[in-house]
Amino acid sequence: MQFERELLKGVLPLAVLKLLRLRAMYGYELVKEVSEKSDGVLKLGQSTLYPLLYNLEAQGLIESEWQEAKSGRGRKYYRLTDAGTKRLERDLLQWDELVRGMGRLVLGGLQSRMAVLFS
Amino acid sequence: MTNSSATMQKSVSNTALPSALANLTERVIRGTRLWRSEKRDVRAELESHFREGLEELAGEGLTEEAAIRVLCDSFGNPELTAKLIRRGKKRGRPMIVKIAISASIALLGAAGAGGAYVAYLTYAKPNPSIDYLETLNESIVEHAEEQRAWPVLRDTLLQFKPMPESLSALNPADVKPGSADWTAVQAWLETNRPLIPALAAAASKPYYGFVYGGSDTGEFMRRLAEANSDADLLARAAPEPDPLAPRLISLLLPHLADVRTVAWFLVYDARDHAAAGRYADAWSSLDLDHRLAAKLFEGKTLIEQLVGAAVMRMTCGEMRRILGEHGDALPPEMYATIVQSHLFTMQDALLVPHLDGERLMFQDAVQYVFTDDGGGNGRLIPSQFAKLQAMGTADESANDGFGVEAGLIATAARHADRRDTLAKYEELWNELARYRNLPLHDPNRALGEQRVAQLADSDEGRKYAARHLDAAEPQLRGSADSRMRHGQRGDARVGGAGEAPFGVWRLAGGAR
Repeated sequence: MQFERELLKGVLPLAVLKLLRLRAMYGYELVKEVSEKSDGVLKLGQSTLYPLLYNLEAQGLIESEWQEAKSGRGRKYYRLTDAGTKRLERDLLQWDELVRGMGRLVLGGLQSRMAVLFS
Repeated sequence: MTNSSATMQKSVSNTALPSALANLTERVIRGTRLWRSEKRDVRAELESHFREGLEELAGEGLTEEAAIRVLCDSFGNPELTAKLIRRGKKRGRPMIVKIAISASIALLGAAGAGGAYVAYLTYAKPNPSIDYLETLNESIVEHAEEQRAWPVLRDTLLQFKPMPESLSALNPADVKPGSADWTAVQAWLETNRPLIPALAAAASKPYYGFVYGGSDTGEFMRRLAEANSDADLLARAAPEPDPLAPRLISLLLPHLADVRTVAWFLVYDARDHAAAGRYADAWSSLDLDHRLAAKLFEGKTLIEQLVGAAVMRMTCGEMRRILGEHGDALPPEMYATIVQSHLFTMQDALLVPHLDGERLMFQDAVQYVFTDDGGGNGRLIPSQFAKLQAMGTADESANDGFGVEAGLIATAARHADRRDTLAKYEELWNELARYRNLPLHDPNRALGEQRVAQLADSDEGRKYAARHLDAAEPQLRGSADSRMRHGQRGDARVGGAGEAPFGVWRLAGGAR
């Protein structure tokens, strides 16, 4: 499914921060993990991923380091900072509230329609 | 965790990347317009990303070609990516660097603004659109040339031999028959006496008729300079005057000094005749002097009026002196003519100066120092303003007080930057004119002067050019005071010879 860009704007940073809480990851790994962990609902292209990472890094929520992989190739790993951890906790709470609110809103409307259909 | 490692980046970039992906990376990197070190970091990361992808997709069984296509398709818009990467990376720059960049931009901006200002100083031009000189000359040129005194006077002045330097340094009041310098005076008188009929012809014209800024002004100055071998005057009589130079009244009156010399010539001539008992000739010279001065008083500018009034007073004073010294020797019929004239009657209207010319020339100066449409509502051109100020401090003009005029006009013009300023200026002129036209003994006459004096030192006054008026007003007051003093003298033989006894004298046939 293709999501509206505006809709994804607040979701992707949260997704990236959430994944980086598990472990440090490099760019391509994050692309794969976002897709896998969201069951393919969220997809990160490079055009979205790297600007997002640089923004989070500029805000001090994540930090990066070049490391050598087993193949001998260089990889730039990103990990959560303390500030990033705090932000993630705050954002998760907000997200939880948002999802519950939206759930009530959407399901409430559905229940009303079903009540009309089966009355 | 430390940041990017140059060695690690190098190890990434040394590995070959398929050309399609290398080109894509290049497009993004070029579009970021980041610093070199930042570009190096981003390039290494993108290349690393592509290699991970190639390896992963190869593991899933895709050919390299197919893997490249997948990676390219999933990449997104490279230009947009570059733009977003630039934004993110710039945000991550150290604060000190951001401040330095902002300061540099501000400095560059200030330098640009400064450059633009310098260009404005250098290249801004006024747009004078109203010919105030034409307005000033309107009532002059409507008279035929043969009715105007100036053309005759001009030709006469060109032939007139200047006063010897040894005499010009003396106080004229001390130069009398019998004094040490009188022989030199007589020689000078003899040289110029043949011109007296021409001066009389000029004085007999019904109108003064000097055209301000007329085409013959420069030519007159040039010929006068050549006739007198005056290099300074020749330099000022430039054939091509600066068309953007504000025109000042003082610069429009090249003849004024020569007219004053002629006035003294006629006074000396009268003294010489009186000393020799040729009273009729003496009176005739003074009468001619007075009539020429009256012509000058018809001038539109305050300085001409003041010089004219001064010469008239001077001739009257000289008449009183001769009447006092030689009264007993005068022929009875001449004495009777003089004492029966209106010696005790002041002709006030004759000596009331006006400022109409000054007002027009002020407005003219305003349009030469502003980028306006003649209404004084443009922006001040500093170079033009400086030019006007420089005109006011020229040595020669500063010595005789004309330079003050330019300085005052410059100061006034600086504040005349809106239409309403000129309107207020006009209003003030008119208000002053009303007070000036009150009878001499009316105590309210002083109110106008007080109003100007109060305004002169205030911000509002500066805006309305009140300082300019404040400088002119005492000269008008001096003229009025002088009239009052003469009018109050009651001595029949001396003080009674007031400002205007010549009307009867002329009627009695005394005029040349």
